[in-house]
Amino acid sequence: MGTFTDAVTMECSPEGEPLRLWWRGLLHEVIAPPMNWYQRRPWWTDQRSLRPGEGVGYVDVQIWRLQVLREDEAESLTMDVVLYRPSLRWRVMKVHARVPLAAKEAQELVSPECANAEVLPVEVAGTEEWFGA
Amino acid sequence: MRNFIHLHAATAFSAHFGVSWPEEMAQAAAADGADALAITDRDGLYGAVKHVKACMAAGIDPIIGVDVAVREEVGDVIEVTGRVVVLAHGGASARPGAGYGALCRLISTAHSAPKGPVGLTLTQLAQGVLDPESGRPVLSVLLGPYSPVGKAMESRKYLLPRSKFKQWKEAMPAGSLVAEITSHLNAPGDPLSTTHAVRMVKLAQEFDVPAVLSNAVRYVNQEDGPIADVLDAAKSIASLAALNTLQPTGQAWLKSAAQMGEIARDIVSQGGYGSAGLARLWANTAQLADKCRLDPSTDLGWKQPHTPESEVLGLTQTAGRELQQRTESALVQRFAGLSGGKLEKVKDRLAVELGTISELGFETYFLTVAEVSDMIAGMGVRRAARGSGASSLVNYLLGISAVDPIANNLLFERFLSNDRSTLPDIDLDVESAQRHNVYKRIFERFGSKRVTLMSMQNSYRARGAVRDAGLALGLDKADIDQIAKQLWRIPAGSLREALAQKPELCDLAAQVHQSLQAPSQTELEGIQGAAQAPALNLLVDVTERLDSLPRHISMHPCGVILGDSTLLGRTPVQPSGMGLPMSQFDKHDMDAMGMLKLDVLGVRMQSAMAHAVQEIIRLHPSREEVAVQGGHDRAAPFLGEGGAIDLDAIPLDDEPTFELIRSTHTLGCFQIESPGQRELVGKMAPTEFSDLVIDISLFRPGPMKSNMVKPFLESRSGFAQPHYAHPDLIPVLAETHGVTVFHEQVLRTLAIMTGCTLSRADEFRRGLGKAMVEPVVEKYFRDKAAHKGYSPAVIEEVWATLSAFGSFGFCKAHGAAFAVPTYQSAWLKAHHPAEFMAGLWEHDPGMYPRRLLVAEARRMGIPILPLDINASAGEYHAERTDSGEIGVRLSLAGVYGLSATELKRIVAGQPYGSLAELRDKAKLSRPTLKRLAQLGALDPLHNQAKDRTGSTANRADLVAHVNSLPAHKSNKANDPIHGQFALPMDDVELGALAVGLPESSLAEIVSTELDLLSMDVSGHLMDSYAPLLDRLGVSRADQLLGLRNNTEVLVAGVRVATQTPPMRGGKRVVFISVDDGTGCVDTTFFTQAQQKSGPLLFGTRMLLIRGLTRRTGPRGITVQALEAWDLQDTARLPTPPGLVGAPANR
Repeated sequence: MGTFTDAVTMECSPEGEPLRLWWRGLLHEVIAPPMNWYQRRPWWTDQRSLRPGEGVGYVDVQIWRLQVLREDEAESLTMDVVLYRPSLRWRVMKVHARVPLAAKEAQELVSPECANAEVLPVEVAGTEEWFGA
Repeated sequence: MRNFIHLHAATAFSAHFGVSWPEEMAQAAAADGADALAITDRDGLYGAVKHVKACMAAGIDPIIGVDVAVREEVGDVIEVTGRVVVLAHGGASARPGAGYGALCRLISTAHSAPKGPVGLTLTQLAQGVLDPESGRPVLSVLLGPYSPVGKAMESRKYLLPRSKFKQWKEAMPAGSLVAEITSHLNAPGDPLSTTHAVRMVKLAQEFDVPAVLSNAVRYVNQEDGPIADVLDAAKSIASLAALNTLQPTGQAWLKSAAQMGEIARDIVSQGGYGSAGLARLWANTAQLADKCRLDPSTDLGWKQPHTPESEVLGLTQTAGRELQQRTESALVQRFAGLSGGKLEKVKDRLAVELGTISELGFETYFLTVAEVSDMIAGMGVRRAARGSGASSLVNYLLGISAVDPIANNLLFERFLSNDRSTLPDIDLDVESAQRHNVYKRIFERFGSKRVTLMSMQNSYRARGAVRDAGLALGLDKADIDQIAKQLWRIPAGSLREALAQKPELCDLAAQVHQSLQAPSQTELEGIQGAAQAPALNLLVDVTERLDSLPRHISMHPCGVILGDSTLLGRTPVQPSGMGLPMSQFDKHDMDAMGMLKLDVLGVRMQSAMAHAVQEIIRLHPSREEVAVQGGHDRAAPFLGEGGAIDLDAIPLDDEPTFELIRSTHTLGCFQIESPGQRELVGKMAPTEFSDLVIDISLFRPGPMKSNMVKPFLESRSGFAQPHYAHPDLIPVLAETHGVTVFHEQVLRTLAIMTGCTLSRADEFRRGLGKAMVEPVVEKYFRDKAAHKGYSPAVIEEVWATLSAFGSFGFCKAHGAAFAVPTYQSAWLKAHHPAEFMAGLWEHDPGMYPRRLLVAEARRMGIPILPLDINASAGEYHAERTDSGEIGVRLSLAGVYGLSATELKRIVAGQPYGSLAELRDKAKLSRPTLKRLAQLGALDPLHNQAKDRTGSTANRADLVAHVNSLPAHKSNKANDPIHGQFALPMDDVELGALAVGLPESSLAEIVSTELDLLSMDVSGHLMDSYAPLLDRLGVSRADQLLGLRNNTEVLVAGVRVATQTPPMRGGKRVVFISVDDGTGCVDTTFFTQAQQKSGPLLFGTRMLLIRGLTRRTGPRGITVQALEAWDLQDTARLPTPPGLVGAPANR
């Protein structure tokens, strides 16, 4: 667990930056500039072909860490969503425990000079429990 | 953001690293609006010249650098601690050429360490960036994410990157260090993340070093990321799943300026630098790019040839004067028989050649080659000029070529002219066994600053690609081997097409198709033991995409680059397999870099012939004896007093030699031993030397494809009148009965019909078959020929011939040069067959396995003398048997697993009186001793002992005894003292062997011989199949000639050759030759038979073939196959006709 396979509907800015998403019928509004990076995936285990022109999105997926506000809730939460290419499908990968942990983490990300950069990003305890609720 | 210039980009020429070709990179960069692009291949300039060509074609400026490893002493071990990019400055900021020259020398230094990995120390880098003339830096060193500084960020030691950066800053000359900022958008805090990029910016700022942006490119397009993974796996020889050093993300493509702008903005904003910081990063990158733009002409000396200085040749006058004097005096001698107008014509020709050579400034090149040629002769090594160089009178007069271009009607323009845009090269064939010695002498004579070997790129082809792709994908090794074996001469890039078309791949195609239906691993998640089913289809795609990517560089088989003392500032060099330095450039780079080369090719046949001649002398050490044995006239001028034969002086009209060639028993003869050639010589029945020249020239893809062979043979045999499109062409085409065979004939045809010069005609010829140029040639030809009054019908016909001829066909000079060793080898086979066979076995020059030549020797009645611990040496020797015949004694060198030192000791200790003596002196390992016993090499010792004691032990008992001996222990105390002789004692040990094992059968012995010697000596491999073949009614090779044309037969044997030569109409024809012990049967598989035989075509060793006899000439017969079976798969063999026990065919 900890990884989800829930598809979400994402609305992005013209530059491709997530603005809001619908997950399990609920609207989540992105409330802070998101971070993104890429992460490897073992393409040789699930791809059937690599014809000329194919291969985009085989080696890595794009991860977006979003701070969102769910409709009807007051407190924000942090979630990691994955963008698969070339299909441009979005899925939720991880939902972090509510701040303050997540906020602290985000701070570390932007200024690694003042923190222990090597421990990022951290798996957050309690995620499963939250999801189970 | 516009015009971003990539300063760090590897191409496919970074073997097992880069994915894309320089042409793709340059085009993509230009299309994005960049006006320059760097190439930074790993540890070399392997792709640099191609990059410059590609940039010139794309209209952008080339930048050249290297991505080089950094060596550091860690403890007392030398390790690679990272990689830096080094870029050469261009003429705009430094002395033209200084940057590129320094880069070449720096790379050579990186490859010159006597041990440890390739790379440079910080000290070497700091020295190497300086121009020795001005003392100023002419190279920039980029510290990026892979550098020791970038690597230090991965550790938990927070201060390490800073102290490393400081160390570099202090060591490198001012103005030579640059920080390279790269983000592959990895997870924050990981290598190649934006956070690391920010830290590098901060370090650059702190130490006041300019920072530039790069993307450390490995592939041109995003979709090539997976291929980079596969290359990483191939490099590490591990599966992708097992690798933890894969690229952290797939972001290393040649990103557009817009995409790079986004990365820059992210870095700058995360670092808190604002728009000024962004502008600064961008401007720094552009500035460094400007500094490094290279001008091909002034910086690289593009297309400016360099030849050895006349001082190095020790000339006392100008090279031009020297060349003229030498050739003129040789002319008087060589053409002493000519006078008057004929002599004047030769003199005119010489004047024309000298004029051209002088105009091109190549005098010292010719003098150097002449000196090399003399030097080889002085070493006592056989040599022969080959190729278009034989067209030159100057080469003939300097003694470089032995072919008289006047008598053979060869054209200088085919070799060299002012119109020619490429540099000439001269080819010398030498004995293969002496090639390295010849190279060493050339280096000694001219110095390694003027001479270097040329390299070549070895690229992925189908088999290698499928193996590496399978390894990466984690497929079972045995499965991959099975697949790889089935791929026969298929370009990896069209594997899918081949799967659809080739009958022998239909099983594999079905498996691939099946794999697509199977669920993927993800879909099978949780199901234990589910196969990686879709991998097979993925394998096909990955294989296709690996096609022709370079795998590694190696020494070219013949190219030696000859230059002046600036050579090492024009090409980096690295040690070759044989130790001598080789250039990082290959043959495609030579013309562009103005490099002249001499091709010194090792030819095994020359070694084989040299060996044969030595063996003749050894057995017949006088003129008389050789004359008697070989059936020569005692006074023959080619015989020396001591029995030496000067092969270059044998008469070219020897009847027994032509008889042998016409018999088609030409196995082992140079150029005419292949099944196709045997068929052609059978049909053509050559009677004189010029027939051989034509035969060799006809057996080429061009003439075969454009159907020149049939009309030629028909006219030659008188069945048809030769046809000439126009009487003007009769003088040109008469020698080949109206058929255009030679390049020289194309040149003359063009010159006659258009009135152009021969050198222009040669340029036109080079344009034939090139889609871009041929239409221009066609228009010129049609216009000019019409203008000269040739009728449209004539023009049409001649153009059709020229166009079909394409760029194929053969230079007559090549054909003439090739025909010489062809004739010489046939002459040796006709007159001294045993010695010739010894030469063939010793040097293995041909296309067939040695064991087929054993069968040939058996057919000729030459005794094959078994291995004998006392009589066999480290070479194959001719030996006179007790009955006076000459046989061939097998060599100990052929025994599997026998080491070179063991061989040396055996030979040094010969002869042996007992097994104990052999053990003491030769100190053989037990397996070696056992193999020698198995092969019967110890039988002489054993038989001696048996004669004395009356023991009845057999070879199997001997093997068992040897096998039971304790392993040899090296104990100095027991060694015989130097000079001590063994006591003449009887071999008690061998006289008293335990008896009782059953005698090995002949079939077992033959099988052992095949395993350990790769030859079947005691009997033929097929002998044990005789009952089966008789039962099936199989015809033997020696019976075929007696059968009528078109008889249906069964033939069988062990496969000795498989060929798929290009054929008319583009349809594939497969030639398979099988050997059945009485000779070789050549079979032909057309499309239908290929389909019927399927996977058997290429994979099976023992074949049974049904087919129809086809008579090819008075002495030639082949079988057109209808169907084939695996002879060992007895269950599937066809049922014999009639009842079991029906009369056998023989």
